[in-house]
Amino acid sequence: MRNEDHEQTDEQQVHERYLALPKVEPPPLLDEKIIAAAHAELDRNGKKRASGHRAWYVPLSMAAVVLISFSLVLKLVIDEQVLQSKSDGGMPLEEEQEFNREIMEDAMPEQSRERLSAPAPSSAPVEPQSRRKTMEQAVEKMPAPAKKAATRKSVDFGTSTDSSKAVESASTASPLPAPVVVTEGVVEHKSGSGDGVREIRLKRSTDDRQREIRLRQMMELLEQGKYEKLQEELTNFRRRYPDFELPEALAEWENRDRPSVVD
Amino acid sequence: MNKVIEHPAPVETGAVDLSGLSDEQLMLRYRDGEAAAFDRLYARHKGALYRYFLRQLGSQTEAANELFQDVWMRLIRSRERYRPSAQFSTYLYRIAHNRLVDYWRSMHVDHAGIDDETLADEAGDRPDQQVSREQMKAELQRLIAALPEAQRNTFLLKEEGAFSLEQIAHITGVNRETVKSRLRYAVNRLKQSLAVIS
Repeated sequence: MRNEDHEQTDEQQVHERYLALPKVEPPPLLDEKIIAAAHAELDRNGKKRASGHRAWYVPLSMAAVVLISFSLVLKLVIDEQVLQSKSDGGMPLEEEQEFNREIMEDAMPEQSRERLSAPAPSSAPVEPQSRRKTMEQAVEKMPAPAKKAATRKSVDFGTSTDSSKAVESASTASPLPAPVVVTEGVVEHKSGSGDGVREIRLKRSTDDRQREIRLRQMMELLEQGKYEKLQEELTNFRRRYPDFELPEALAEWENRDRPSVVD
Repeated sequence: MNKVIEHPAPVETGAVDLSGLSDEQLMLRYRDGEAAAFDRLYARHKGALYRYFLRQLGSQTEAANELFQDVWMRLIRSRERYRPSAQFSTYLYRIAHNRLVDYWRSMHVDHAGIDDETLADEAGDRPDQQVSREQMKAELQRLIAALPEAQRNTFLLKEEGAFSLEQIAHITGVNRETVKSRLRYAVNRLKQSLAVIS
């Protein structure tokens, strides 16, 4: 213990002697140099002074999350709409693909193909006779060369298995095949001649096409005598189009069990 | 035993009085981009660290300036990796100690120091001169510079850094008993030399 006390005393004495030494400080020039370097380090990294900002990757990550979330929500909404339309009795996928294929085949340029345009789409159902009349009116409006080509052949919608076909180009007399553009249900034949584009557009809603296909299917079932299947299809059809006026054959079959109205 | 510093709570920047913050908080603020925090931290430790180097190297002021600047540069460059796992001062002087060791190795200088006999002889050459207070101070500085490196280092860490034996052990990489022994030898040598001189 004595030694430790003695050591502490010695240490204290030396300590007091040391404290008496001058408090030397670094030269001001050295201070400025070091502080400038410290500040420059911050500027070099692009960090703001006196602010607690975050690294660059944080806002980038947040933006990516927002974008992905929005895309996901959008996709869910679209999928829900598709499912909704299918549950309402929309066209099955296979039939829609077949329909689209028919559209493409019909739109293929063939100089020998001559068809009449279908009438413009309308929400109200059109009887075959009135439809023919509408087509004749449309033909009348065509330019002379197109009119001449269009009157060569007519198409009876009626019970024909042919679906409504694309419009023929007004320039069927052109020696060159016309390029075809199909967009959004619009089938166009563009003239390859140098006198500009002559085109007759037929725009039909997807809903009309689907309905026509379903009517065609039901007609086929009726002709084949598949009444159970026909009933099922008709029920689904009515769910979707309760007020639609069916073709005569189908309407007659639909009303077969119902008592006639007596005045 | 080093005092383990818990990660300080984040402090809002801007209007906070930096003088009330600890060294670790200031360093974290600097790491996060606040230059004023470094200014404060530098002001706190520059004097002690500079004297630590200056009294290690005696009259070699240029070398002391170079080592002093180098230590701060290393601190600045490694700011993003700073983690308050120990006291900031311990972290700072560890850098300083390592830098000093590198310097001695590069200079290939014999750090054995001046033995007591030589010191006594030098003092005995001037028996009639009255040693003034200023001379005593200068003499002390010379004696400190003349200490063996390990003892001198330990002594200056104790005096300038105000570190405990455990902290000095952590900085220098030796155990506590070795630090204690070095400090005792250093104090004894200085005391004897001062007694001889006075």
